[in-house]
Amino acid sequence: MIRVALIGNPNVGKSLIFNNLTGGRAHVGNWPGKTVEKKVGKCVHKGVEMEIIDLPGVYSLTARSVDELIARDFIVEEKPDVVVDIADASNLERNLYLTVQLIELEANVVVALNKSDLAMDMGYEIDADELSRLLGVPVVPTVATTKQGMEELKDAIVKAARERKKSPLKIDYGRRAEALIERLEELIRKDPMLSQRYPTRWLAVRLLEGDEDVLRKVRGSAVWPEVAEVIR
Amino acid sequence: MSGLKAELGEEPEAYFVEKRYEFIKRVVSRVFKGKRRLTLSDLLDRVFLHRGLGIPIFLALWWALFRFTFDVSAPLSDAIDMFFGWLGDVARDGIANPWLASFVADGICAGFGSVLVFIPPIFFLFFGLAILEDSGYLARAAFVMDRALYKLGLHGRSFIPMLLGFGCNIPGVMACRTIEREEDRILTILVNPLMSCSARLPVYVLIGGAVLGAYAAAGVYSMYILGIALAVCMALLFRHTIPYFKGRRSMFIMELPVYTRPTLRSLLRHMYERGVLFLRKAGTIIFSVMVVVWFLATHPWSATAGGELVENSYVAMLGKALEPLVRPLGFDWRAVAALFFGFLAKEIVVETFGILLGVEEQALTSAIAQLFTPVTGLAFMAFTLIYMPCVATIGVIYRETNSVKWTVFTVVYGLLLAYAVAFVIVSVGHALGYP
Amino acid sequence: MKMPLAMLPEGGEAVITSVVAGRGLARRLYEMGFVRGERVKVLRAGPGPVLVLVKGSRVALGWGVAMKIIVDGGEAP
Repeated sequence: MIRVALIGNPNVGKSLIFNNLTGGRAHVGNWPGKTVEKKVGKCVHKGVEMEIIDLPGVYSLTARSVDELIARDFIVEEKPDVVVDIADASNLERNLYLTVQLIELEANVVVALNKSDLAMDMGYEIDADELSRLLGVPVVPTVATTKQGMEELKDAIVKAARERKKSPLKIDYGRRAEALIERLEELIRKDPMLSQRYPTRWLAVRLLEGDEDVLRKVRGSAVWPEVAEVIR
Repeated sequence: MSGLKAELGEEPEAYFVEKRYEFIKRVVSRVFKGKRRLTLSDLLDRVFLHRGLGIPIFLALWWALFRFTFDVSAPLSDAIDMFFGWLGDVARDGIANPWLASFVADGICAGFGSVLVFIPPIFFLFFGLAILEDSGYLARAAFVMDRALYKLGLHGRSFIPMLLGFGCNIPGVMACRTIEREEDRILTILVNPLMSCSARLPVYVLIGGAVLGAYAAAGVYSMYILGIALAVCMALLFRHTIPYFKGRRSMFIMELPVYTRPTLRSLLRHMYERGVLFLRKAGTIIFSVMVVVWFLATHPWSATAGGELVENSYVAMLGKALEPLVRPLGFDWRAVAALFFGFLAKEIVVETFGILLGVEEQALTSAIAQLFTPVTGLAFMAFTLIYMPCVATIGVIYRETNSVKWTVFTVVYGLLLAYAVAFVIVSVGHALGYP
Repeated sequence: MKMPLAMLPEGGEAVITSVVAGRGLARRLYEMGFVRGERVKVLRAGPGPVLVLVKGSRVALGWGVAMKIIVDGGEAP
């Protein structure tokens, strides 16, 4: 059985896609210790059993709010087999921010480009294939309200779970930043407690960004003093 | 991180986000074609967010929602009520053993009935709410009301849950889910029960009608105003005194989704999900407590002659035991007993008085007039408004806050505040020379 | 001419130059698209919450938040 997490900005149609995949039957509860709702459902496609977990709608994975923390922790700790990022085609630029963060987190991403009909009505044209090529992850256009693209999405999920390809995407943060990132990565690799749990590049960038949650995680490490020097 | 700032040329938080967006811009320029056209959403926003019309439009829609919910569901609720009443009668007549008959009729049937009678209004309310929400309108309502609410210590998104509370506190509390910051969410949940739910109305009408004479309508109306005023005061009070709530509020940043036409499928789904949630959690609580209350009201069995003489029951004993506490407020043991029953569902307060006073509906008003004076009657109405939410609401509060602490806090502060306000009313009334 | 976003008139467009806010708020604003160099348009001006168009989406900002975003509205009159 493969575990599939659904994530996306608020209002992108995530619930609808969740219902399309799970047939509406879901076990509803709370995330442990939080007041945020957790929905889990099942889906069987071409013999493959999938557990679908609905993550809270978030704009990014900076882990400042409870929702973001829940989403990020789930991806980092539970390491779902596939993460379906539902992006609003009529609002592409901002939606891709989350996509990029997911790829940097080294999640196994499949992008569902939802509301394709709305985008078309607004006069937009999106080249999904080219987008897929540039991001290094599969992109499936969908229209959740009419269930268009659902079969292709399920195919893509199964394929992604099987192949487990990592997107080659790497954002160039500029010469100076990249130098700092590399130095931090060296330090992080010295501590297996960190390097085995989290993607090193992602950790390095987040340290530079001053991500509180990450800082907390790294403070307990032996390499912290040297790291602190770099990010001061 | 000033060293980093110097190294990168600007604040690290800004730097990395900008770089990501630069990358995204390049990607988008390669895959995306088209210019943003004026959309239906833009036009609708000109109306719904209109400076002068925005709020009145919202209030009108809100009124429509409530009318729709309660007018359409009332006949169904009545039907369910009658059905279980009939079922109870059948059980009462059909079962030989009087104790068993009472248990089935007054305990079980009444218990089921009191839960199921909620189904029509709850489901219709959720359906109507789903329309407002899924269409994207609700975000506009929050936008329009945000400014006023911010000054009152609440969040723009507290508005909808508060308004829902006027119908029933349960969906009101559940609607607080849309509030991002946990502290704001819990604060709104705490003051939500002060929104006078529709179940309290029969109590106001009964008491007010009996003792306030010509001022009855004003008295009832004042309860709603009192509720709002207290909610505002409590919100401000909690925010300034309880450390948990202190600190910067989540700043209002909210994306307004595009207006969409909700699909019947998703509307029904929302209605179903929330309705079932309510039934499962609140329902079981209401039902079990009703059975317990039946037990307390009809035992000791012999003393009450099979449930007839309520004044000999445990509830009456409880009421009489607590009477000294409420005497300064002008309440007697029957009032306490009624409030006790009101704990499980506010609608029952009226019926309880009927039972305890041993009179039929028609004579109830005059019987009440003998029990309360205008001042103590008003105090009782206020007490009913504030004292604590019905057990179903408490169940939902527990579920939504995931915390025993806050649930208990709600109950405790409710009781204390209710007592204080009732006491003030009685004191002021007496001081002004009224009995 | 530089000014807070809150001061822009309805229908006005401007380019963001900086965000003067605490870490948390600044980061949230950046991620919503309020980055340096981004063009924004005011759909509904204050007083009170402000509605702007940024990166193709409609975002409502509290007045206090809108005061913290500095934009360049073009030439001074």
